[in-house]
Amino acid sequence: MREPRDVVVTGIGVLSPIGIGVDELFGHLRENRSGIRLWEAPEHGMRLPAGVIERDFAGEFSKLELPYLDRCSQLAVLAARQATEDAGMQTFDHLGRRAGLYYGSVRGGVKTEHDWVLQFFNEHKPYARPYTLMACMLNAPAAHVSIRHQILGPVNTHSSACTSSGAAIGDAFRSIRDGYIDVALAGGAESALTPAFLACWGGLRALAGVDPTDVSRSCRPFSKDRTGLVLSEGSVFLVLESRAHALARGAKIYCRIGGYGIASDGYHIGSPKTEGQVAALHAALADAGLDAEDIDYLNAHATATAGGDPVEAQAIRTVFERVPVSSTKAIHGHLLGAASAIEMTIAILAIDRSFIPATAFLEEVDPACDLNHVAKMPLFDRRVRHAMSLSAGFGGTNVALIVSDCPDLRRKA
Amino acid sequence: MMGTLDPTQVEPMVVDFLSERFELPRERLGSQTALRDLGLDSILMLDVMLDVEDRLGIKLRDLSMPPNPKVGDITALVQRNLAAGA
Repeated sequence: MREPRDVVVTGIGVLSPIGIGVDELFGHLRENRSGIRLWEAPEHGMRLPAGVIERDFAGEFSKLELPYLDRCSQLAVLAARQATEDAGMQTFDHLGRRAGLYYGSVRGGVKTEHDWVLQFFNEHKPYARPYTLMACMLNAPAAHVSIRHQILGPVNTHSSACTSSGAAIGDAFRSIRDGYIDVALAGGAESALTPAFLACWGGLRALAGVDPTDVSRSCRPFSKDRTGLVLSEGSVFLVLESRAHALARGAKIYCRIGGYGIASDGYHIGSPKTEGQVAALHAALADAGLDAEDIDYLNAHATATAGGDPVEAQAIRTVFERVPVSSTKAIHGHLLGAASAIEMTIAILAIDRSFIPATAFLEEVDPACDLNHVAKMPLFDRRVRHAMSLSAGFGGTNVALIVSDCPDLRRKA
Repeated sequence: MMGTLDPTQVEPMVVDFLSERFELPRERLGSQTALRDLGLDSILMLDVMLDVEDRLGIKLRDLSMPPNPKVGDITALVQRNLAAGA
């Protein structure tokens, strides 16, 4: 049995509807500035709120690279690059097999896939372009990142719906803690804002309508007048290292990863269950060696659906007395495969920037979602020692991650 | 259509095509330049062949290339297929 090792976060890369880079992300959180915009597909009569990153990233890549890079891969490659630059370690080949990559996504290169399906049915093309298969596959972004940064140990793609990147980060954490590797890039990416994919969610009657007064207020988790979730795109990667490795190379340190809990509902393909979420929360606390009252902030999964939010609120009430809770999805929407990663990053920022993020636009709380809500605006100048992020995915996988302050190590460069 | 293309026109056409499609400077596209050195892998090469077929309205039946192919080998491939009545 190996001696468990401390795991620290030394780099963050973010491409999201509320900012490119960690400082822009914090700026949006500080002011509760929403990145939800109007998304339209007039040819299908579709008009929805969505967390669109209004930027074309194709110019960041050469014409030789682009055929393989669906937008999902583009986002992942750029977020991973940002994280590695932030960590001051751009390539990992010197670590041999002791560097790993743990990546989460739900749909992979869905735009490339849908474009091909349209050609197949409408233009009756007998074959796809030779690169199409590789551009659509779920693990393509992980592969591109591993090739570019020469990550030569485990390169894994996790897919457990909305918990995909959380489970990826959790496994990266365990792999370092238990001594299998020393460094990991971990996170997720999603770019699935295509009409056919959004129409699948529409079929589920789970999507929020466009708010009649202000589209940016369309996602209202825990709110009595919530109308559903808002889908988004983005990618977030973290660089995780063993504490010893980070200290040896003089890396700046954001925080320590305190614990990871994962548990499944075993209940229903599309309906969450309180018991599974409670189990994940308890498992993370036990893993971190903490009690519920040690947690200073909980970033909830809360997607703003009628059914999901009360189940989660009940799970949180079961475990916690009065932990301050918010769902930042109100301003960044649901990043699916990158959801856990951005929300854990926000928990890291709570520690790093000493504040508690809020649930924007939460005017009247649904009585079924009664919690210690941090509503409308964040709380500043609050020391956050331990913060937690909870995610729950279709299929019943639940993930809880705890990040912990380490003032003796933090930000030493 | 291919029947109207002089085989000597194939090389400048291939160079034009690679230059436009991948934004590669023409001076790098000498006949002895290895495709690998340009960043063109076998999958992109296959795609180039499909584009050549579309552009010329022909069917390339012989897609065989030597190991580590060069720009000139694409020219030779198209000319070979032309001669075979592609």
